[in-house]
Amino acid sequence: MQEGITPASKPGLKPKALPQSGAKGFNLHVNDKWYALAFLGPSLLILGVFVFYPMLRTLYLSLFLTDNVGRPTVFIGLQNYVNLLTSSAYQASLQATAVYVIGVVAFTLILGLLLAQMAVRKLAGIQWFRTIFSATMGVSVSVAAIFWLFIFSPSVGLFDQIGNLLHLPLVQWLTTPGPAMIAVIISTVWMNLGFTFLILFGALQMVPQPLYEAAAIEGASPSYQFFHVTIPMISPTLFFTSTVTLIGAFKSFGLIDLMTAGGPNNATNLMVYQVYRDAFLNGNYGLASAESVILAVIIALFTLLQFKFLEKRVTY
Amino acid sequence: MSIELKALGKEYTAGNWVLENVSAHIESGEFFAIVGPSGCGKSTLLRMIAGLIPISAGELQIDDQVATNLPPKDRKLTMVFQSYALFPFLSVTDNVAFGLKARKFPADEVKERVEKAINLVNLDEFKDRKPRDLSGGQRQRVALARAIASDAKVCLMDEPLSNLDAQLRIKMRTELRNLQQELGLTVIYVTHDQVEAMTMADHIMVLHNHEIQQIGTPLDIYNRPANTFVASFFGTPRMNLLPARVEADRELLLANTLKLGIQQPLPVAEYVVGIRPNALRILPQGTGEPNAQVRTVEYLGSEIILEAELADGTPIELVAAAQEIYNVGDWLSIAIDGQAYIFDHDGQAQFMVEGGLNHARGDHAGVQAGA
Repeated sequence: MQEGITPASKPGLKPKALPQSGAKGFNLHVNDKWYALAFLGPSLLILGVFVFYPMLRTLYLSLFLTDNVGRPTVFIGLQNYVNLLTSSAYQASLQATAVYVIGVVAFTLILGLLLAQMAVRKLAGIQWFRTIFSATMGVSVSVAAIFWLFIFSPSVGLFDQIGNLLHLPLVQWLTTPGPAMIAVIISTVWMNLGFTFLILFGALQMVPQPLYEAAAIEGASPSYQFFHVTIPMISPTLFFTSTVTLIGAFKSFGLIDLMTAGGPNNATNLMVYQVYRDAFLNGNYGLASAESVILAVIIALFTLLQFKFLEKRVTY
Repeated sequence: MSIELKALGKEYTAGNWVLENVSAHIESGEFFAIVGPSGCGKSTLLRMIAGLIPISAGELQIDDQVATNLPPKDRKLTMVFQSYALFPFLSVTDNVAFGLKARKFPADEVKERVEKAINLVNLDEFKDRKPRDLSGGQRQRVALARAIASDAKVCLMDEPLSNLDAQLRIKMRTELRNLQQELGLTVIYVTHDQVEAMTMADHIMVLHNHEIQQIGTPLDIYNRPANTFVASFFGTPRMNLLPARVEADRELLLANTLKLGIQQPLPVAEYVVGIRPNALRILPQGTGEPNAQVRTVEYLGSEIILEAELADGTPIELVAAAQEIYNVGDWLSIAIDGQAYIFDHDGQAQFMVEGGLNHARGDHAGVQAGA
């Protein structure tokens, strides 16, 4: 016992030891900075070359007229922005983007949740469906575009074949403005579903079973359970998927390019596609840069809004 | 609200019965405990009563009405889960109000009932907190309040105290029991803890091997166990179960060492005799022939638990006064000094012998120790 007491009765040793370790700590601290820099260096370099520099360069270019290979020629200030925001074609592009993004986000979330809800049930063979539902994650945009082109192709495509059986009028899916927008939304939602399904399915599986059992005993119907147990429980995940889907939808390019190329009559000419056209088809790099900046600002704004509003509802 | 279980059975795969022929009558306002070791089907039985899993055989009656196939929400009962099953995104108030809102009670009645329930479990100052900001014991109370707030008069509890620390568990036992009495609730309480069942329940159902072993009051179960399983499951330290054979006309020989006189002649066969540690007396040194050797010594403060070996190697547990000093390897002389239970070869209770019986004669002990 006595031996046990002695070390504790010599607290005088401790304060002496402290400054030493403090000094050592300071040295280490300086070293730490170099270590940190050494580890961060490679990624900082890559980010700098491929992200930060292009971002600044885009901002810079948006204030100029350029030649057809992208060298700035005449400084025009904010004229590119003024031209864009007063152009009816650009406003139409903004509008098309709005319709597209809302459609894609809404249907991706609703359908993804529906599939996930179906797949959490413990039924025989359900794992096959889980695989199938998440399979679009492994499909490349070009492949998807080609087979959706087949499905939407007039008269021989699947949709028109079904329409024909039901004696509905033939729809020229990809060459009529309204249906073309619907077609690209359907294709994008389909492409998104794999990822959204997988994430939401994971979230649903994490909801503890006793919560449903307690709710059932307390008198909650299945739909009441869905809206008052399931949705709040997975709301953090819903928030995440909605943000990711929203950003992704703003940035859609591949499917649009391969299916409609912005047409018909610019009906599916989304903002990103307009950037591509102005820069690489029309050689108007200054204008395209201004468009990119506007797109970036809009995405940042929406993401911020989503954080502000949805985070309040993300309840735990 | 009384509950009647009529030959309930559960099979998950055809022919593989996890519960068979479970019958019981649970009176209104009764605290009914279902006890058994893990895997005995006690939670399964509770979930069958709750309607969370289908009943494979038999009939369930709640309040004299057949409820075998009713959905959970129509069975007029509530349940407290081991994990509490609180909604993490709702405040204490909203958690308690959940069922009432789901059943579309008028807003002012919801408010009144919730406030009353929260007040009953002493959570007034925490009513706006989320479950994550509460301690285990407080969460437990929220779960209780939710059960109280609902208008159901039957409350099912699935090991509600097992996630609490030992001290709190003991405190909650009393509180739970008082609350149940105060509100006149019918409680069906599942636990693996025999002490919990003994201290709280009006009646206990002991489940083991897919069937009921015994139903009775705690006193019944302790004093008149129906078989060796019940006998050894209730009481700490456990009852000693010693192999026995008929020695003379009215005498049994236990573990080839201890003699037990009986009031009636028994057919010659193998028997098991149960003796609780507190029905065994350690004779003062030098007053009897030594017949057991100490193997382990556990000091509990108020008493000492000794694990000893009888002369033929059969282990036996004893309780001794704390002021005595025992060492491993000591030879003791022990005698039966209380109730002994005679079970047949299959472990079914035969009869009981009241205490004050002589210990084995020296010659036997000597012979067996030498063997």
